[in-house]
Amino acid sequence: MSSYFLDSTPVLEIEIRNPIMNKAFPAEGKVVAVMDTGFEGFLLVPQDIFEKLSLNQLALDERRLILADGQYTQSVGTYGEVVVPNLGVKFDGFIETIKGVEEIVIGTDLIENMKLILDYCTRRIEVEACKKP
Amino acid sequence: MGTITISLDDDVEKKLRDLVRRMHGSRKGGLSKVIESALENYFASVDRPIKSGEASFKALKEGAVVAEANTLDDLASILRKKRIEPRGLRIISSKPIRPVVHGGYRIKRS
Repeated sequence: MSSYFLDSTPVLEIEIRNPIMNKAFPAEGKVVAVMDTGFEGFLLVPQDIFEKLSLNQLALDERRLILADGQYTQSVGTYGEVVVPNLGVKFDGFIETIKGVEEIVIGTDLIENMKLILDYCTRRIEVEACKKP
Repeated sequence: MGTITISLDDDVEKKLRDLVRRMHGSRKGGLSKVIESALENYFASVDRPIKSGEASFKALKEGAVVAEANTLDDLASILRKKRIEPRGLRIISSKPIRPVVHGGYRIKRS
């Protein structure tokens, strides 16, 4: 089961990879990431994970994130890979970090590759990769 | 490093200077960084058409393309075969990132 509710928060078990620097997080197993459809990016990670993946050793792009209170914050990032082991799929996208983020957040740029059903009635989540045309 | 003098429409210039000020304040080199990043993304988008919504990736070293592939795994493989040091490389996608996006509800201002 790769996706489930933690309290009422939908989460997905993933692996994060930096193929360019040949790094992965976690080194073994999977890590839990929160799915947030309000986040329009691909993946947001804490700074320590960003560094463990050696993403900070590549040239970084900057952009602005609009917070829920309307304020802005700056993020830095580059491209990496997210693996969903239970689905047998992997996706490339922009992995970014900001000061103060304490969890791994999946955004719509990653979610758009999947069919996601959140059934709060039965507290079950169904996730499958989009079928290619 | 080369120096280029260009003319910009007044509206474009204002937007550019506002963006530089927001992203880099009055730090030296901010204008160059923003223009360089914008141009690299533009080059990526015009050089290779997007097929079926899939992105392709290029690795740049000192502004020059040293490898390109449809996936990051393939890009990494090419770099290793060419024995190119990956530290400091700029990776760009044919699907450029949007400069401003909503951060969602999980981020708290630190």
